[in-house]
Amino acid sequence: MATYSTNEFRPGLKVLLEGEPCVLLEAEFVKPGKGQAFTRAKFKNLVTGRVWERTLRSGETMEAADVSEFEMEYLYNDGYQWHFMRTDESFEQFAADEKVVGDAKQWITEQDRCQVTLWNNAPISVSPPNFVNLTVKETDAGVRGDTAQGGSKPAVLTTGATVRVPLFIEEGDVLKVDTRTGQYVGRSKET
Amino acid sequence: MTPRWQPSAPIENLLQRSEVLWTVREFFRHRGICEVQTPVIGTNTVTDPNIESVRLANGNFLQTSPEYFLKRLLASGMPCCYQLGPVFREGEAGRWHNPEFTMLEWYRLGFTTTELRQEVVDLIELVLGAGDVSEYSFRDFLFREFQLDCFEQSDEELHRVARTIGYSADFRRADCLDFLYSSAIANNRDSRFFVIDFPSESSALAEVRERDGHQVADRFELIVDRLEIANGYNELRDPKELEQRMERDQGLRQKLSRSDIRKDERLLAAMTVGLPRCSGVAVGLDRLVALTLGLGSVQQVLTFAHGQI
Repeated sequence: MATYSTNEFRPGLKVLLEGEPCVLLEAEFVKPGKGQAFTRAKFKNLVTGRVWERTLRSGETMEAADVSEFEMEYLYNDGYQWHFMRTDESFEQFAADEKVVGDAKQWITEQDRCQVTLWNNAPISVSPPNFVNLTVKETDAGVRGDTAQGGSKPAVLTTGATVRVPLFIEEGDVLKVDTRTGQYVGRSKET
Repeated sequence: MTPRWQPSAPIENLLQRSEVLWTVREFFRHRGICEVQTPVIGTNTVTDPNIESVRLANGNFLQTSPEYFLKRLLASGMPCCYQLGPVFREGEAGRWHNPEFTMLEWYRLGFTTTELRQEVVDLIELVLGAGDVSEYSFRDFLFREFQLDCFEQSDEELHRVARTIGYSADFRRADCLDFLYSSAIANNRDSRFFVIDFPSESSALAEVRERDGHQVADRFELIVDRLEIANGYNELRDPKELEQRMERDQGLRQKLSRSDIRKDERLLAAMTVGLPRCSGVAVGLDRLVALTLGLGSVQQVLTFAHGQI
Protein backbone atom coordinates (compact mmCIF):
# COMPACT_ATOMS: atom_id res chain seq x y z
CA MET A 1 0.00 0.00 0.00
CA ALA A 2 1.31 3.45 -0.90
CA THR A 3 2.15 5.84 1.92
CA TYR A 4 2.85 9.55 2.14
CA SER A 5 5.40 11.13 4.44
CA THR A 6 4.55 14.48 6.09
CA ASN A 7 7.07 16.17 3.81
CA GLU A 8 5.03 15.07 0.79
CA PHE A 9 1.84 16.57 2.25
CA ARG A 10 -0.04 18.87 -0.08
CA PRO A 11 -3.68 19.89 -0.17
CA GLY A 12 -5.88 17.37 -1.95
CA LEU A 13 -3.94 14.28 -0.87
CA LYS A 14 -6.22 11.35 0.00
CA VAL A 15 -5.14 9.41 3.06
CA LEU A 16 -6.49 7.00 5.65
CA LEU A 17 -6.91 8.47 9.12
CA GLU A 18 -8.19 6.12 11.82
CA GLY A 19 -9.22 3.79 9.01
CA GLU A 20 -11.38 6.40 7.29
CA PRO A 21 -10.72 8.07 3.94
CA CYS A 22 -9.84 11.75 4.29
CA VAL A 23 -8.67 14.55 2.08
CA LEU A 24 -5.84 16.77 3.32
CA LEU A 25 -7.05 20.39 3.42
CA GLU A 26 -3.92 22.12 4.69
CA ALA A 27 -0.64 21.31 6.39
CA GLU A 28 1.72 23.56 8.28
CA PHE A 29 5.29 22.89 9.36
CA VAL A 30 5.67 23.72 13.05
CA LYS A 31 8.94 23.60 14.93
CA PRO A 32 9.99 25.11 18.20
CA GLY A 33 13.61 26.25 17.74
CA LYS A 34 14.85 23.72 20.27
CA GLY A 35 12.18 21.10 19.87
CA GLN A 36 10.73 18.36 17.75
CA ALA A 37 9.37 19.31 14.29
CA PHE A 38 5.68 18.70 13.71
CA THR A 39 3.23 18.91 10.87
CA ARG A 40 -0.11 20.36 11.89
CA ALA A 41 -2.70 19.23 9.37
CA LYS A 42 -6.41 19.53 8.71
CA PHE A 43 -8.24 16.62 7.14
CA LYS A 44 -11.79 16.37 5.91
CA ASN A 45 -13.37 13.00 6.44
CA LEU A 46 -14.79 12.09 3.04
CA VAL A 47 -17.54 9.92 4.54
CA THR A 48 -18.87 12.23 7.24
CA GLY A 49 -17.61 15.59 5.98
CA ARG A 50 -16.20 16.33 9.44
CA VAL A 51 -12.93 18.24 9.65
CA TRP A 52 -10.23 16.69 11.83
CA GLU A 53 -7.12 18.46 13.06
CA ARG A 54 -4.12 16.30 13.72
CA THR A 55 -0.50 16.96 14.58
CA LEU A 56 2.06 14.45 13.38
CA ARG A 57 5.74 14.23 14.05
CA SER A 58 7.60 15.36 10.92
CA GLY A 59 8.68 12.39 8.84
CA GLU A 60 5.76 10.19 9.96
CA THR A 61 3.84 8.51 7.19
CA MET A 62 0.16 7.99 6.45
CA GLU A 63 -1.40 5.33 4.29
CA ALA A 64 -2.80 6.55 0.98
CA ALA A 65 -6.55 6.08 0.49
CA ASP A 66 -7.76 4.66 -2.81
CA VAL A 67 -10.23 7.46 -3.47
CA SER A 68 -11.39 8.75 -6.83
CA GLU A 69 -14.16 10.96 -8.08
CA PHE A 70 -16.24 10.48 -11.23
CA GLU A 71 -19.06 12.23 -12.99
CA MET A 72 -22.02 9.86 -13.00
CA GLU A 73 -25.56 9.99 -14.25
CA TYR A 74 -28.27 9.29 -11.69
CA LEU A 75 -30.33 6.45 -13.15
CA TYR A 76 -33.07 5.51 -10.67
CA ASN A 77 -33.95 4.69 -7.11
CA ASP A 78 -35.13 1.14 -6.47
CA GLY A 79 -36.68 1.96 -3.11
CA TYR A 80 -33.63 1.63 -0.97
CA GLN A 81 -30.65 2.26 -3.23
CA TRP A 82 -29.76 5.00 -5.69
CA HIS A 83 -28.14 3.82 -8.92
CA PHE A 84 -25.53 5.77 -10.88
CA MET A 85 -23.61 5.20 -14.10
CA ARG A 86 -20.26 6.61 -15.15
CA THR A 87 -20.51 9.12 -18.03
CA ASP A 88 -17.13 8.24 -19.54
CA GLU A 89 -18.64 5.51 -21.73
CA SER A 90 -17.42 2.76 -19.42
CA PHE A 91 -21.12 2.35 -18.49
CA GLU A 92 -19.95 1.10 -15.14
CA GLN A 93 -22.77 1.25 -12.58
CA PHE A 94 -22.69 1.83 -8.84
CA ALA A 95 -25.36 1.64 -6.18
CA ALA A 96 -25.34 3.95 -3.17
CA ASP A 97 -27.45 3.64 -0.05
CA GLU A 98 -29.30 6.46 1.68
CA LYS A 99 -26.44 7.30 4.07
CA VAL A 100 -24.07 7.82 1.14
CA VAL A 101 -26.48 9.87 -0.96
CA GLY A 102 -27.25 12.03 2.05
CA ASP A 103 -28.57 15.52 1.32
CA ALA A 104 -28.18 14.99 -2.41
CA LYS A 105 -31.33 12.86 -2.44
CA GLN A 106 -33.58 15.88 -1.98
CA TRP A 107 -32.21 17.52 -5.12
CA ILE A 108 -31.53 14.87 -7.75
CA THR A 109 -33.84 13.57 -10.46
CA GLU A 110 -33.16 10.92 -13.07
CA GLN A 111 -30.46 11.82 -15.61
CA ASP A 112 -28.87 14.50 -13.42
CA ARG A 113 -25.09 14.44 -13.56
CA CYS A 114 -23.58 14.08 -10.13
CA GLN A 115 -20.07 13.84 -8.72
CA VAL A 116 -19.67 10.48 -7.03
CA THR A 117 -16.68 9.76 -4.80
CA LEU A 118 -15.51 6.14 -4.65
CA TRP A 119 -13.38 4.59 -1.94
CA ASN A 120 -12.04 1.12 -2.72
CA ASN A 121 -14.45 1.21 -5.66
CA ALA A 122 -17.58 1.79 -3.58
CA PRO A 123 -19.47 5.13 -3.40
CA ILE A 124 -18.90 7.13 -0.21
CA SER A 125 -20.45 10.46 -1.19
CA VAL A 126 -22.62 12.03 -3.88
CA SER A 127 -22.65 15.71 -4.81
CA PRO A 128 -25.64 16.93 -6.80
CA PRO A 129 -25.21 19.41 -9.68
CA ASN A 130 -24.72 22.97 -8.34
CA PHE A 131 -27.99 24.04 -9.92
CA VAL A 132 -31.09 21.93 -10.48
CA ASN A 133 -34.49 22.67 -12.03
CA LEU A 134 -37.36 21.30 -10.00
CA THR A 135 -41.17 21.61 -10.14
CA VAL A 136 -43.20 23.02 -7.23
CA LYS A 137 -45.53 20.31 -5.89
CA GLU A 138 -47.12 22.25 -3.08
CA THR A 139 -47.22 25.86 -1.96
CA ASP A 140 -49.78 28.20 -0.43
CA ALA A 141 -51.49 30.63 -2.79
CA GLY A 142 -49.64 33.95 -2.74
CA VAL A 143 -50.86 36.61 -0.35
CA ARG A 144 -52.17 39.45 -2.46
CA GLY A 145 -50.30 42.76 -2.59
CA ASP A 146 -47.25 41.51 -0.74
CA THR A 147 -44.88 41.01 -3.64
CA ALA A 148 -43.25 44.44 -3.33
CA GLN A 149 -42.35 43.70 0.29
CA GLY A 150 -40.06 40.86 -0.76
CA GLY A 151 -42.02 38.39 1.37
CA SER A 152 -41.41 34.67 1.03
CA LYS A 153 -43.13 31.37 1.74
CA PRO A 154 -42.14 27.69 1.75
CA ALA A 155 -42.61 25.56 -1.37
CA VAL A 156 -42.30 21.77 -1.50
CA LEU A 157 -40.63 20.46 -4.66
CA THR A 158 -41.22 17.16 -6.44
CA THR A 159 -38.09 15.67 -4.90
CA GLY A 160 -39.32 16.45 -1.40
CA ALA A 161 -37.05 19.43 -0.72
CA THR A 162 -38.54 22.59 0.78
CA VAL A 163 -37.22 25.99 -0.32
CA ARG A 164 -38.20 29.58 0.50
CA VAL A 165 -39.72 31.20 -2.58
CA PRO A 166 -41.24 34.61 -3.43
CA LEU A 167 -45.00 34.90 -2.93
CA PHE A 168 -45.82 34.88 -6.66
CA ILE A 169 -44.60 31.30 -7.16
CA GLU A 170 -47.39 28.83 -7.88
CA GLU A 171 -47.75 25.06 -7.89
CA GLY A 172 -46.41 23.63 -11.15
CA ASP A 173 -43.76 26.37 -11.61
CA VAL A 174 -40.28 25.12 -12.43
CA LEU A 175 -37.63 26.65 -10.20
CA LYS A 176 -33.87 26.91 -10.43
CA VAL A 177 -32.29 26.08 -7.06
CA ASP A 178 -28.69 26.32 -5.87
CA THR A 179 -28.08 22.96 -4.17
CA ARG A 180 -25.04 24.25 -2.25
CA THR A 181 -27.10 26.79 -0.32
CA GLY A 182 -30.56 25.29 -0.78
CA GLN A 183 -31.75 28.65 -2.05
CA TYR A 184 -34.19 29.61 -4.76
CA VAL A 185 -32.40 31.32 -7.64
CA GLY A 186 -35.27 32.07 -10.03
CA ARG A 187 -37.99 30.64 -12.19
CA SER A 188 -36.58 28.34 -14.84
CA LYS A 189 -37.28 28.74 -18.51
CA GLU A 190 -36.44 25.10 -19.05
CA THR A 191 -38.98 22.46 -18.13
CA MET B 1 7.64 27.10 -19.83
CA THR B 2 9.85 29.86 -18.45
CA PRO B 3 10.91 29.01 -14.91
CA ARG B 4 9.81 31.44 -12.23
CA TRP B 5 12.87 33.66 -11.91
CA GLN B 6 11.46 36.66 -10.07
CA PRO B 7 12.17 37.24 -6.38
CA SER B 8 9.90 35.73 -3.73
CA ALA B 9 9.37 39.10 -2.05
CA PRO B 10 7.94 42.17 -3.77
CA ILE B 11 10.70 44.79 -4.18
CA GLU B 12 8.75 47.12 -1.86
CA ASN B 13 9.12 44.58 0.97
CA LEU B 14 12.85 44.30 0.35
CA LEU B 15 13.22 48.07 0.66
CA GLN B 16 11.39 47.98 3.97
CA ARG B 17 13.53 45.05 5.07
CA SER B 18 16.58 47.20 4.46
CA GLU B 19 15.12 49.84 6.81
CA VAL B 20 14.70 47.23 9.56
CA LEU B 21 18.33 46.13 9.09
CA TRP B 22 19.45 49.75 9.51
CA THR B 23 17.37 50.10 12.67
CA VAL B 24 18.92 46.96 14.14
CA ARG B 25 22.49 47.95 13.33
CA GLU B 26 21.99 51.46 14.69
CA PHE B 27 20.55 49.98 17.89
CA PHE B 28 23.72 47.98 18.48
CA ARG B 29 26.07 50.74 17.44
CA HIS B 30 24.33 53.03 19.88
CA ARG B 31 24.86 50.56 22.71
CA GLY B 32 28.50 49.97 21.81
CA ILE B 33 28.02 46.35 20.75
CA CYS B 34 30.33 45.41 17.92
CA GLU B 35 29.35 43.48 14.81
CA VAL B 36 31.39 40.38 14.00
CA GLN B 37 31.32 37.96 11.11
CA THR B 38 32.15 34.35 11.83
CA PRO B 39 32.35 31.53 9.25
CA VAL B 40 29.21 30.10 7.72
CA ILE B 41 31.05 26.80 7.20
CA GLY B 42 32.54 24.88 10.12
CA THR B 43 34.07 21.47 10.65
CA ASN B 44 31.72 21.02 13.61
CA THR B 45 28.09 21.73 14.32
CA VAL B 46 25.47 21.40 17.08
CA THR B 47 24.75 17.99 18.57
CA ASP B 48 21.13 18.96 19.39
CA PRO B 49 19.03 16.00 18.19
CA ASN B 50 16.23 18.29 16.98
CA ILE B 51 18.43 20.40 14.73
CA GLU B 52 19.70 18.94 11.46
CA SER B 53 22.71 20.62 9.90
CA VAL B 54 23.39 20.75 6.19
CA ARG B 55 26.45 18.56 5.61
CA LEU B 56 28.70 19.48 2.71
CA ALA B 57 30.41 16.95 0.44
CA ASN B 58 33.74 17.49 2.23
CA GLY B 59 32.17 16.65 5.60
CA ASN B 60 31.92 20.25 6.83
CA PHE B 61 28.68 21.79 7.99
CA LEU B 62 26.76 24.93 7.24
CA GLN B 63 26.30 26.57 10.63
CA THR B 64 22.85 26.43 12.28
CA SER B 65 23.76 29.42 14.44
CA PRO B 66 26.97 31.40 15.06
CA GLU B 67 26.92 30.38 18.74
CA TYR B 68 30.05 28.23 18.86
CA PHE B 69 32.24 30.68 16.98
CA LEU B 70 30.93 33.64 18.97
CA LYS B 71 31.66 31.84 22.24
CA ARG B 72 35.21 31.14 21.08
CA LEU B 73 35.56 34.87 20.44
CA LEU B 74 34.17 35.73 23.88
CA ALA B 75 36.58 33.28 25.53
CA SER B 76 39.42 35.13 23.74
CA GLY B 77 38.51 38.54 25.12
CA MET B 78 36.00 39.84 22.58
CA PRO B 79 33.66 42.33 24.26
CA CYS B 80 29.84 42.30 23.78
CA CYS B 81 29.18 41.47 20.14
CA TYR B 82 26.52 40.51 17.64
CA GLN B 83 26.29 38.72 14.33
CA LEU B 84 23.61 39.31 11.72
CA GLY B 85 23.74 36.81 8.92
CA PRO B 86 22.57 33.58 7.31
CA VAL B 87 22.23 30.26 9.14
CA PHE B 88 21.04 26.93 7.76
CA ARG B 89 18.79 24.10 8.94
CA GLU B 90 18.15 21.02 6.89
CA GLY B 91 14.53 20.24 6.15
CA GLU B 92 12.92 23.25 7.82
CA ALA B 93 10.55 24.63 5.22
CA GLY B 94 7.11 26.10 5.70
CA ARG B 95 5.28 29.37 5.98
CA TRP B 96 7.44 30.48 8.91
CA HIS B 97 10.56 28.46 8.10
CA ASN B 98 13.15 28.56 5.37
CA PRO B 99 16.19 26.23 5.33
CA GLU B 100 18.43 29.30 5.01
CA PHE B 101 17.37 32.16 7.23
CA THR B 102 18.77 35.27 8.84
CA MET B 103 19.74 35.13 12.46
CA LEU B 104 20.59 38.01 14.72
CA GLU B 105 22.55 36.73 17.69
CA TRP B 106 24.20 38.75 20.43
CA TYR B 107 26.02 38.29 23.71
CA ARG B 108 26.11 40.54 26.74
CA LEU B 109 28.91 40.11 29.24
CA GLY B 110 27.73 40.17 32.85
CA PHE B 111 24.03 40.37 31.92
CA THR B 112 21.41 38.23 33.62
CA THR B 113 18.61 36.84 31.48
CA THR B 114 16.29 39.43 33.08
CA GLU B 115 18.55 42.24 31.85
CA LEU B 116 18.85 40.66 28.43
CA ARG B 117 15.06 40.27 28.15
CA GLN B 118 14.75 44.00 28.73
CA GLU B 119 17.24 44.65 25.94
CA VAL B 120 15.28 42.34 23.63
CA VAL B 121 12.11 44.30 24.44
CA ASP B 122 13.93 47.58 23.70
CA LEU B 123 14.94 46.31 20.27
CA ILE B 124 11.53 44.80 19.48
CA GLU B 125 9.78 48.04 20.44
CA LEU B 126 12.12 50.02 18.24
CA VAL B 127 11.21 47.82 15.27
CA LEU B 128 7.56 46.89 15.96
CA GLY B 129 6.47 49.79 18.16
CA ALA B 130 5.58 49.80 21.85
CA GLY B 131 3.37 47.08 23.30
CA ASP B 132 2.69 45.14 26.48
CA VAL B 133 4.89 42.12 27.11
CA SER B 134 3.76 39.48 29.57
CA GLU B 135 5.88 36.74 31.12
CA TYR B 136 5.12 33.15 32.12
CA SER B 137 7.22 30.35 33.43
CA PHE B 138 7.04 27.30 31.18
CA ARG B 139 5.22 25.48 33.96
CA ASP B 140 2.57 28.20 34.45
CA PHE B 141 2.20 28.60 30.71
CA LEU B 142 1.21 24.95 30.20
CA PHE B 143 -0.86 24.95 33.37
CA ARG B 144 -2.95 27.94 32.25
CA GLU B 145 -3.69 26.26 28.95
CA PHE B 146 -4.12 22.61 29.88
CA GLN B 147 -4.38 22.54 33.70
CA LEU B 148 -1.49 20.13 33.82
CA ASP B 149 1.79 20.35 35.66
CA CYS B 150 4.72 19.55 33.42
CA PHE B 151 6.87 18.52 36.39
CA GLU B 152 4.37 16.46 38.36
CA GLN B 153 2.11 14.87 35.74
CA SER B 154 2.67 11.27 34.68
CA ASP B 155 3.66 10.40 31.12
CA GLU B 156 0.21 8.84 30.58
CA GLU B 157 -1.58 11.99 31.66
CA LEU B 158 0.55 14.20 29.39
CA HIS B 159 -0.15 11.91 26.50
CA ARG B 160 -3.87 11.78 27.24
CA VAL B 161 -4.13 15.60 27.18
CA ALA B 162 -2.04 15.81 24.02
CA ARG B 163 -4.30 13.27 22.30
CA THR B 164 -7.44 15.23 23.12
CA ILE B 165 -6.06 18.15 21.12
CA GLY B 166 -5.01 16.16 18.07
CA TYR B 167 -1.57 14.76 18.86
CA SER B 168 -1.22 11.56 16.90
CA ALA B 169 2.53 10.87 16.95
CA ASP B 170 4.04 8.06 19.01
CA PHE B 171 4.72 8.95 22.56
CA ARG B 172 7.92 10.43 23.88
CA ARG B 173 7.64 12.70 26.88
CA ALA B 174 9.88 15.44 25.44
CA ASP B 175 7.97 15.46 22.11
CA CYS B 176 4.69 15.55 23.95
CA LEU B 177 5.84 18.61 25.91
CA ASP B 178 7.06 20.27 22.69
CA PHE B 179 3.68 19.61 21.15
CA LEU B 180 1.74 20.95 24.15
CA TYR B 181 4.02 23.99 24.22
CA SER B 182 3.47 24.68 20.49
CA SER B 183 -0.28 24.27 20.94
CA ALA B 184 -0.32 26.59 23.94
CA ILE B 185 1.50 29.21 21.85
CA ALA B 186 -0.98 28.78 19.01
CA ASN B 187 -3.87 29.33 21.44
CA ASN B 188 -2.42 32.24 23.42
CA ARG B 189 -4.00 35.61 22.64
CA ASP B 190 -1.30 37.83 24.19
CA SER B 191 0.46 39.67 21.40
CA ARG B 192 3.91 39.59 23.05
CA PHE B 193 5.10 37.39 25.87
CA PHE B 194 8.14 35.69 27.30
CA VAL B 195 8.25 32.09 28.40
CA ILE B 196 11.03 31.48 30.93
CA ASP B 197 12.39 28.65 33.07
CA PHE B 198 12.11 25.74 30.65
CA PRO B 199 12.33 22.13 31.84
CA SER B 200 15.99 21.22 32.28
CA GLU B 201 15.74 18.57 29.48
CA SER B 202 15.47 21.42 26.99
CA SER B 203 18.24 23.52 28.48
CA ALA B 204 20.48 23.24 25.37
CA LEU B 205 23.40 25.53 26.35
CA ALA B 206 21.67 27.35 29.19
CA GLU B 207 22.62 27.24 32.87
CA VAL B 208 20.28 25.20 35.02
CA ARG B 209 18.92 26.66 38.27
CA GLU B 210 16.42 25.61 40.88
CA ARG B 211 12.96 27.06 41.03
CA ASP B 212 10.21 25.85 43.40
CA GLY B 213 12.13 22.64 43.98
CA HIS B 214 12.59 21.84 40.29
CA GLN B 215 15.60 22.10 38.03
CA VAL B 216 14.85 24.59 35.25
CA ALA B 217 16.89 26.03 32.41
CA ASP B 218 17.68 29.75 32.76
CA ARG B 219 16.38 30.31 29.29
CA PHE B 220 13.68 32.43 27.66
CA GLU B 221 11.71 32.64 24.47
CA LEU B 222 9.92 35.69 23.15
CA ILE B 223 6.68 35.00 21.30
CA VAL B 224 5.16 37.73 19.14
CA ASP B 225 1.80 37.12 17.50
CA ARG B 226 2.17 33.38 18.12
CA LEU B 227 5.62 33.25 16.50
CA GLU B 228 8.82 32.33 18.27
CA ILE B 229 11.00 35.39 17.72
CA ALA B 230 13.85 35.12 20.22
CA ASN B 231 15.54 32.43 22.27
CA GLY B 232 17.99 33.45 24.98
CA TYR B 233 20.17 31.83 27.64
CA ASN B 234 22.20 32.51 30.66
CA GLU B 235 25.14 30.80 28.98
CA LEU B 236 26.45 27.56 30.41
CA ARG B 237 30.12 27.99 31.37
CA ASP B 238 31.13 24.63 32.79
CA PRO B 239 33.01 22.69 30.05
CA LYS B 240 32.45 19.35 31.84
CA GLU B 241 28.71 19.92 31.93
CA LEU B 242 28.74 20.97 28.27
CA GLU B 243 30.61 17.81 27.32
CA GLN B 244 28.09 15.67 29.20
CA ARG B 245 25.19 17.36 27.43
CA MET B 246 26.85 16.81 24.07
CA GLU B 247 27.28 13.13 24.90
CA ARG B 248 23.66 12.89 25.99
CA ASP B 249 22.65 14.46 22.64
CA GLN B 250 24.83 11.97 20.79
CA GLY B 251 23.16 9.07 22.58
CA LEU B 252 19.74 10.45 21.75
CA ARG B 253 20.71 10.99 18.11
CA GLN B 254 21.76 7.37 17.91
CA LYS B 255 18.48 6.19 19.44
CA LEU B 256 16.53 8.27 16.91
CA SER B 257 18.80 7.01 14.10
CA ARG B 258 19.90 10.53 13.25
CA SER B 259 23.35 11.22 11.88
CA ASP B 260 26.27 11.10 14.29
CA ILE B 261 27.73 14.52 15.20
CA ARG B 262 31.18 14.91 16.78
CA LYS B 263 31.72 17.04 19.85
CA ASP B 264 33.25 20.40 18.99
CA GLU B 265 36.62 20.03 20.72
CA ARG B 266 37.60 23.60 19.88
CA LEU B 267 34.56 24.95 21.71
CA LEU B 268 35.28 22.70 24.68
CA ALA B 269 38.91 23.88 24.74
CA ALA B 270 37.78 27.52 24.67
CA MET B 271 35.34 26.89 27.52
CA THR B 272 38.06 25.23 29.54
CA VAL B 273 40.07 28.45 29.33
CA GLY B 274 36.86 30.20 30.33
CA LEU B 275 33.77 31.77 28.88
CA PRO B 276 33.02 34.99 30.79
CA ARG B 277 29.70 35.16 32.61
CA CYS B 278 27.25 36.28 29.95
CA SER B 279 23.78 35.95 28.45
CA GLY B 280 23.08 35.56 24.76
CA VAL B 281 20.04 35.59 22.53
CA ALA B 282 19.17 34.75 18.94
CA VAL B 283 16.40 36.49 16.99
CA GLY B 284 14.77 35.23 13.80
CA LEU B 285 15.21 38.30 11.69
CA ASP B 286 13.09 37.27 8.70
CA ARG B 287 10.14 36.65 10.99
CA LEU B 288 10.68 39.97 12.69
CA VAL B 289 10.66 41.76 9.32
CA ALA B 290 7.53 39.87 8.25
CA LEU B 291 5.79 40.92 11.49
CA THR B 292 6.89 44.51 10.97
CA LEU B 293 5.26 44.51 7.56
CA GLY B 294 2.20 42.61 8.81
CA LEU B 295 2.77 39.66 6.47
CA GLY B 296 1.81 36.02 6.81
CA SER B 297 5.03 34.27 5.81
CA VAL B 298 8.81 34.68 5.75
CA GLN B 299 8.85 34.02 2.00
CA GLN B 300 7.37 37.48 1.47
CA VAL B 301 10.48 39.11 2.90
CA LEU B 302 13.14 36.83 1.37
CA THR B 303 14.77 37.72 -1.93
CA PHE B 304 14.70 34.14 -3.16
CA ALA B 305 13.04 31.59 -0.90
CA HIS B 306 13.47 27.84 -0.78
CA GLY B 307 12.07 26.35 -4.00
CA GLN B 308 13.07 29.41 -6.04
CA ILE B 309 16.80 29.31 -5.62
